[in-house]
Amino acid sequence: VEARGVVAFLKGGIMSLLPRRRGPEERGPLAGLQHEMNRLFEDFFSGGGPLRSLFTDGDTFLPAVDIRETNDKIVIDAELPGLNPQDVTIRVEGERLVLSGERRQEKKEQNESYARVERSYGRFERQLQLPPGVDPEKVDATFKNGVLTIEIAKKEEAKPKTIEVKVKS
Amino acid sequence: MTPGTAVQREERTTPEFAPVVDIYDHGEEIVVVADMPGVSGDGVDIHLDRGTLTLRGKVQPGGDEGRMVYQEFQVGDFVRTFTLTEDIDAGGIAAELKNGVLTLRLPKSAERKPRKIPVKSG
Repeated sequence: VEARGVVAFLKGGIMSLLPRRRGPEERGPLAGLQHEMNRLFEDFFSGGGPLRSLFTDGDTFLPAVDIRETNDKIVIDAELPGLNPQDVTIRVEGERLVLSGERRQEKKEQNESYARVERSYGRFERQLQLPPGVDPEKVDATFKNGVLTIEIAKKEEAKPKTIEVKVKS
Repeated sequence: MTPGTAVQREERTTPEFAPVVDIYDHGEEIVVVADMPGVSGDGVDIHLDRGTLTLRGKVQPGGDEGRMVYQEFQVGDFVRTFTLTEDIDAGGIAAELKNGVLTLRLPKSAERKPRKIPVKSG
């Protein structure tokens, strides 16, 4: 009876007019494939087998990333709301960056009934191909308001150079 | 072109997105949890007006140096509006923002709380 009240609580509003931030399934064919690969990987190691994914909703958490490039570094922003720095591992392997971790569900309280669950949880791993010329020894990461920012310096030879041209008169 | 349109074009408009939410009922209160990555505590605005609850989270500007080479998300403000069918004690609403997650506690008005009525025997 209580739950019904809360469901009605959500009716109406302008929420349908606003786009959602795109989820993993909507990020294009490659990201979708990666999501599927991640899931198969998880299923394989959790012993559930590939069939298990048919029976779960498969809505595991996968952070969205943006990658920017400046003259001297590559900057990766990952959306990780609710995570603490210790929940995330960053590895740079050659020209590949691996971001992994777990988003845990908040502790459930007694007597609670869910009216709506849109957020997702679980273990995740994302592998990102970096542009050539990054220096895996020079990686900086900051975590602020649920956004992880990773900065990877470019090697000297990969930085754009300005060549001075002397004009003979 | 009128000068008005020129001014409009110069304005930077921040896109708005609906945050994903979990909503659950604790009996005495309704809890709304919304993902708002990039929003800090002072960027949150919660507005309750005659049964309409609006959550707004403003992202902090910055962090846009360089050229975007791969994009899965756009940076923008979070806005979502709900219509309340429960009577909420507006004065008792509590909000907390931690690591980009907003947790909103909406206490139900006293007359709507499920009450246990003791039955005396004898």
